[in-house]
Amino acid sequence: MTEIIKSNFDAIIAGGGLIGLSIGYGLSRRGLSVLLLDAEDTALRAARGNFGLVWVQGKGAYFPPYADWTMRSSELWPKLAGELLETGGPALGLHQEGGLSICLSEAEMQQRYEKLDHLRAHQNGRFQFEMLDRSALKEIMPGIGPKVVGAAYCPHDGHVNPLYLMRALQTGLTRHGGVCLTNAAVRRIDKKGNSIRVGTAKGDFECQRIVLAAGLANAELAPMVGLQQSLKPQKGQIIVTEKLDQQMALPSLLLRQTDEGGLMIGDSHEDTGFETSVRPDIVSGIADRALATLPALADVGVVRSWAALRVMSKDGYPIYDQSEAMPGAFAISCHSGVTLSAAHAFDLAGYIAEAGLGQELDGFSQRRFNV
Amino acid sequence: MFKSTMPEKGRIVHLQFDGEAITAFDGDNLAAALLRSGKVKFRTAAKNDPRGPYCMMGVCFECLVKIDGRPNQQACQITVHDGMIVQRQNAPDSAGKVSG
Amino acid sequence: MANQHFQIAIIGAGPAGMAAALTTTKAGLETIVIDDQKGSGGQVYRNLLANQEASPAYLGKSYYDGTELAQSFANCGAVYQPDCTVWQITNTHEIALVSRGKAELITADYIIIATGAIERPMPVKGWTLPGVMSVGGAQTLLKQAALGADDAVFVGSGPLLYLTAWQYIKAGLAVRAVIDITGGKQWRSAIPYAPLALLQPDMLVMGREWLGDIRRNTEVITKVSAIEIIGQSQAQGVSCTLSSGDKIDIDANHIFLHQGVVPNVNLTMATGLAHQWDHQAHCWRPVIDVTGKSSDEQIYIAGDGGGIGGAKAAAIAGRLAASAIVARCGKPRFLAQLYYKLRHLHYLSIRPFLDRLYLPSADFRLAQTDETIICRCEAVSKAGVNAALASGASGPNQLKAFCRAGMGRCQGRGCGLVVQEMIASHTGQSMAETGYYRLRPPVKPITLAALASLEGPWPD
Repeated sequence: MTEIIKSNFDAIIAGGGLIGLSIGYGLSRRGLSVLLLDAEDTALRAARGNFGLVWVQGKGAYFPPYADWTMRSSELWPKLAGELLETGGPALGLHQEGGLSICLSEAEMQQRYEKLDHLRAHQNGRFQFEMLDRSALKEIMPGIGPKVVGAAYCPHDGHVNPLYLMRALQTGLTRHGGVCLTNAAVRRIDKKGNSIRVGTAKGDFECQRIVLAAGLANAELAPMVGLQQSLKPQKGQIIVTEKLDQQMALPSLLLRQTDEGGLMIGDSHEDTGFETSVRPDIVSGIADRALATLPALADVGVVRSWAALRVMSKDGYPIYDQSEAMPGAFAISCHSGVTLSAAHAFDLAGYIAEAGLGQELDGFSQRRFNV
Repeated sequence: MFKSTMPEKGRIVHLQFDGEAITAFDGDNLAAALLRSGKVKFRTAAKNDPRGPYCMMGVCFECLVKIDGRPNQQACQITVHDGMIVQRQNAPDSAGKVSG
Repeated sequence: MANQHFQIAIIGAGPAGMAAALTTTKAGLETIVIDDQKGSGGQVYRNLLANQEASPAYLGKSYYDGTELAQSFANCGAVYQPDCTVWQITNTHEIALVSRGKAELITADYIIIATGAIERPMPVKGWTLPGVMSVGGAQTLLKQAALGADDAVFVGSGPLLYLTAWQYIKAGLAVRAVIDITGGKQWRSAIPYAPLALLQPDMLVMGREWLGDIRRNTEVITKVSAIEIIGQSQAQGVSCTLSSGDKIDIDANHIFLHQGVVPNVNLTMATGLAHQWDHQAHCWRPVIDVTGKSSDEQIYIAGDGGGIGGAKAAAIAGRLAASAIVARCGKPRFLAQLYYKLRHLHYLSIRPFLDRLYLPSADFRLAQTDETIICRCEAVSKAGVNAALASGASGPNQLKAFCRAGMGRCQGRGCGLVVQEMIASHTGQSMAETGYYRLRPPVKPITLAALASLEGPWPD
């Protein structure tokens, strides 16, 4: 356990999930002194429930700034992966060779096509996709079941190991001089002269910048810095299988194979508040769809499952805000912590370190809900 | 080598383990039958990581073998049947080529 | 069986489960006993009914003592469902089961979880080699298949080890050596509790018989500071370092390890029941009241799964939980309950002594060399866990995320306590503060086909 020898930092990050770690890493690599405050090992922790997609297709179809931001992050990902390689931990397993959204009905195909076509229209050629009919899909995934109608293929999509990403970001952050404290959830934030004072169970700390990246807890913390973040939990369940020989060349939205060989299969979108129980009916449905997609998976064993709470804003897009009442205070939330990790580590950290959130991120303010 | 501590009796049952003929008794536990035949290595968890039965009660998942084509079967939880075809399961653990 | 409702569902058919069923069926309550093994008896009374015919004497009195219980259970009228695994208990008390590839949900007014114990992990270098088994595994082979290995070496400490080595000797097998890691430190901490142990003289006499026969029939090695298992494609021998610094190398293809038993908390934790760190027994146990009622009003825990007590204590605990439930169903049994409570206390009187005497030292609870595998399922070594700790993992779940320890099929049964202790040592936190892996269903792996086969209707 590192003993804290200082109590004053350039930046304090409230939250040790993907957002906090990405921004913390980004700030520390720019030379800022960073303290990252994390809650308990068993807190809600949306990041640990993440599926691991670095996903572009469909994002921001009806909200161009999000599409731009997502594409930007996807393009920055190789740079992030390259830097994190130096932290020496297990390989991140980043693959950006494209991804599929597999459809089990003509209606799903149509819906998917409309959404992606709309996205393509406002992206001025930057966004590519292709609808694959059954026979075209069969060439990439020979084992597809009879119910599979086709898929939307997007060359920009990919996947990565989100847990190893967190490990690498944490190692990178500490290598650049950052400090991480666990069991140190933020309880109080106020101004103290020219600094911001942050109170936790492990003592008080001061900083010039505070970044709230505490997921659902941001709703509670934001008012402390004169901001608002209306967030709701949306439950998603995932099952993971035992390891298999390489089965899937490309990840799909609901089914991907990790580098270790296990299949991750999702998902659900449930509105059940702050509970994270795994429901047999839901996982049964997930299994059902997986078997409709790849029937030969019938005898594969499910070894783990979990439910996690997505951090959802009203429209599902990120909320990026900086406080006017408390200059230097930022509140950041989104539910795509993996995809946006690169943009957070490079661009967003840059804004936070320098002049503040730029115009590019104007559309993401909580203010958009006040219309 | 494991050997019987009681007089062996019962109907003889024939199985195969990696192509080799194994004799067992009707009602035998598969892991026990293989151990009695001197087989201790049931699989590999990685290239130089041989494994065999450990707990005999179904909680360690070390005794995994392929039975009649089905992988990831816990040998200690299975009763032999005549003609059973058992194979060592070598890493990475495989459910067979799904995409093939 | 799908969507059937029972008044009582008992999970596990060891002494606690069987005894509980006797009480509930006698009171006329519709009872189902779900057992993931093929025949009743759990671990301690494994194959007891089938062994009645030949009754090999070498299994010993403590084994055959369970005969009446097993026979009564077979005739009690409970619905007995063997070869059936519970993979989840939901927060609305549905029990998700799988049997022969088909998953089903049943419901019950009350649930008694009697899933028993598992062995405490004993990570030594080379312990994953074929030919190395847990002592419990060796004993099961003896009970279930009348199989034993000549020239085996037993390593560790605890009653199960001595019993099994004794059974081996009585069965006419040549035991190569017993390497006993119980030390002076353990004796010193246990002796003040010896008077309580005297309340169960029969246990002490039995233990003395086992130890005596072992000493007379094999080489006993004590004052051991380190153990290593040698071999390439299978176990070839044990290398033993004594506190004096001397080394003893023993050739052996079969090595049996044991350093105590701990409650199997996977189902109870995945069900969300409250647990506490048992400082004396150095393990987790569910939080239960004196009748075995858990933090959930409808769920009771009986037997070793609620705290190690042995077979006789388990049977009483089963009776106790069942009679508490029977009372709640309108048929109070005050005297019976009082009797069970007293008997239970009696059987547990030896625990303070045994728990301290056979608690392995930290040297053996933790691995001693960097290459020692800690998480067998994912092949994570001590060095791998340490690297994750160095990356900043400060809790078991973060550590699991960083290095995969605990992510395998066994769901942490083989590594959880070791990992927890490694984290506690590293962070300076207590074992209780460090916590444990967050366990979730399925409590044992279930195939996608079985999962998909689950049918509604779904409760709201």
